[in-house]
Amino acid sequence: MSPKNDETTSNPLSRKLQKVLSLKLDQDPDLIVALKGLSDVVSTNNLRTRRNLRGDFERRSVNLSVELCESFSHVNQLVEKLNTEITTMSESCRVMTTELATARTQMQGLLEKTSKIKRESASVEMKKEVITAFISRYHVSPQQAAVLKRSDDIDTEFFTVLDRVRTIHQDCKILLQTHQTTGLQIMENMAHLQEQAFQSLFKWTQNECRRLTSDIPEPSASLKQGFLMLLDRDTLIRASLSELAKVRRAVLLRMFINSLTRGGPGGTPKPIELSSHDPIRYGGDMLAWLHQTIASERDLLISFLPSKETVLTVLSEVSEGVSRTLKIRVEQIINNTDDCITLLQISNIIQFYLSTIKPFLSEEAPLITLISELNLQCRKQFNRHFALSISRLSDRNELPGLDLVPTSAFQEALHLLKIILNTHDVSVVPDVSPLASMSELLDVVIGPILTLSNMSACQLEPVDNAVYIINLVSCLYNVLAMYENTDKTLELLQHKIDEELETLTNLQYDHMIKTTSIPPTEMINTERLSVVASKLDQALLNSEVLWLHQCTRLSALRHRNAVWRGASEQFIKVYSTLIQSPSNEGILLKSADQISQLLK
Amino acid sequence: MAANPYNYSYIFKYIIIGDMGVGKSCLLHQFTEKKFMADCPHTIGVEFGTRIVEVSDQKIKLQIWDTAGQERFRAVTRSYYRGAAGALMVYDITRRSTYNHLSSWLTDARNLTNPNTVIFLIGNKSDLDAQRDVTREEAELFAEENGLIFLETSARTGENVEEAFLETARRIYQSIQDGSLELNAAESGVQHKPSPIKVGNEEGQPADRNCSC
Ligand SMILES: Nc1nc2c(ncn2[C@@H]2O[C@H](COP(=O)(O)OP(=O)(O)OP(=O)(O)O)[C@@H](O)[C@H]2O)c(=O)[nH]1
Ligand SMILES: [Mg+2]
Repeated sequence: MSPKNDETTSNPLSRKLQKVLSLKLDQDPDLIVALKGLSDVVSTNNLRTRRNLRGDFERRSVNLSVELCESFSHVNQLVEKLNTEITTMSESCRVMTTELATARTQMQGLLEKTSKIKRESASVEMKKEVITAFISRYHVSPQQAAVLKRSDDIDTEFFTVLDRVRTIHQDCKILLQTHQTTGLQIMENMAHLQEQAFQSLFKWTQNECRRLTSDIPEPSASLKQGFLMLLDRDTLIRASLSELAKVRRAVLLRMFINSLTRGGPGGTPKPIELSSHDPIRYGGDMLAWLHQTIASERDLLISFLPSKETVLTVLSEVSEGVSRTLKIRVEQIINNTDDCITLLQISNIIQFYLSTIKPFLSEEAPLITLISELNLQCRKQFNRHFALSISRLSDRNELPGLDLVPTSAFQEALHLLKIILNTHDVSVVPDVSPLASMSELLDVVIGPILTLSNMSACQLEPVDNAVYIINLVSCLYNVLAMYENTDKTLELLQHKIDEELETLTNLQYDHMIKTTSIPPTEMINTERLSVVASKLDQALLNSEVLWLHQCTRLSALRHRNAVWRGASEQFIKVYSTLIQSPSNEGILLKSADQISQLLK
Repeated sequence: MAANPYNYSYIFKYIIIGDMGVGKSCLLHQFTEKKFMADCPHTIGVEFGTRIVEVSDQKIKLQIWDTAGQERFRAVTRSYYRGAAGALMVYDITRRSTYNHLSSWLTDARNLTNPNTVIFLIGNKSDLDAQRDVTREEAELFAEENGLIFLETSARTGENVEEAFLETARRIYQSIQDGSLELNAAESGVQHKPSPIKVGNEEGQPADRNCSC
């Protein structure tokens, strides 16, 4: 086809034709769309429409352009508006950026401040803790302080606060090491509060004590603690105790007088004074009453006083209250009694109560002193009345009979002694040495009895005198030997007996010498010896002549033997010298042994 | 609740009498200490013990005076009968002589105490039944004839010891209720303490048991 091509190419029409012919119209999508669009625009395909087509299209195009223009102007407006806004926004952003920058710088400062404040807060917190701790340890609130000023009503709260004040005062010593001024100030405050508290407590205690006026009072529950606290203040405790003692003293005296004069309700038990005719019962009842009341009173005091010593002190003072009343009555008893046995019994009872009551009171308690004095007084009275009884007996001037037995006056004295010893023996003195008390008694009673015996014997011949005294003292000895703790006196009596026996032995010996006419050594000669020999022979036949007949009145066989033996021995000694004397030229034939045998 | 030794509303005074060696001191000791004293020395004069008991919801302090039985103390011990609200008269069931002496003790008790004093007869050492010398029936009869309350006790085993002391207290309390015993007179042997002054907010103060509601 090439030639043909050449031809077409050469001919523009052909080319055009060619081109038109080569158009594949059904396959061109653009064309199809265009055609479709055209069909929409041109409803009818006629010449008019075909001629007007270009104009239509151009008009249409203009309309569209106008429309487009309008649309774009609207868009333009919007875009412009947008632009303005963006500009504004940009402006705002710029401002914001600046502000942010400023804020950031400010923030930096703030952060620094915050952390500073945080640190401060921590330190303040710390201080707060310290202060709380300090307050809890060193501060007393005004309400608490007020508690310490009350003196009308003291209870456990008072003591809690007071205790706190004391602790704070103590603790201040630690505080002083680091905070001297504060420490000193607090200490001063506390000392002041304490002083106030003690004054309130003291006032209150005094008032409480003054309330204790019934027989068995009921002390308030805080009294014990009050006294315990006051122990710290010497003057206050002493004043309180003495107030207490004063009150109870009056109560005790009232009770005592009541028991003495009025007795129990309706008269049972009877008033103690009703038995005043019976001195032992009367005195005993008074003292037993005191013992029991003091025991109860001690129980009471122990229930609220802080120490044993304070109880003792107060009780001693309280018990003094009855002293005068007791003294008057007991002295009356003592002075109105003249029977020495009764006096001894009263003394025993007083001594019993002395040792019974003593443990309840202090050693130097006035009541104890009084009771010992009353005992002494009673003893003196006893001594006096005993001596009087004995002297009354000796006033009878009764002489012993020929039988040389004790006179009835002496027998009576011995009888009295026996009763005294019996009374003493059953005495109920718990803490006195039995030996000492017996010696004390014997020292008093033996003397007058011995004097009595000496007086009745002194008018007798020496032999009678010796025999009589031996008999009397032996009787006394035998009585005492039945009691315990009399050894010392027995020894003394034995000594006296021995002395008298010796005297009597000598007298007996003299009598034998005289009876047998034995001459003094320097006067021995045969003539005299012959007289002796004959007298001796006679005497040996009837040995009674050798005897002092009064010696048979010795009531004790053993005394008789002793005298005889003693005298015989001496006699034989002398006889022996006679036998051996150069003048004895077969005159005295019996040997000393033989004589000794015969004298037995 | 620990017993407060000072918290009581009455005080009763007792006296214990009877021959020496019948066991008076041992009874007292058993009652106050809950122990038996095997080697108890003779009492010299009088001794004294206390214990708080409860009778009809009342706390009562018993103040007990134990007297010496030895004859030589009679003059002293007689002074202690005065104003006793209760008297315990004791004999030893193994020694007839102590029983035979009862009438003399009873005479003293009657003469020296108030008519209202409660006298309680006690046959002590009931643990020594093998050596018994006084029958229970015999003593019961004696008690009945004389209007006494009677129990056999043993200070050694503690048998009936509480009962004797408590029954005495009950009888005394009964007399108070009856009005036959006058209160608050120092010498009636019974004393009523005024009710304690209540103090502030005292902690641990027991509810007042005295109120009879
Ligand atoms: N087996 C036995 N022995 C007892 C009993 N009670 C007392 N005894 C013993 O009896 C002896 C005397 O007892 P005390 O209590 O001293 O007698 P008392 O009546 O107080 O004597 P006085 O104080 O002298 O009046 C003691 O050795 C006691 O051990 C008892 O119930 N049984
Ligand atoms: Mg005893």
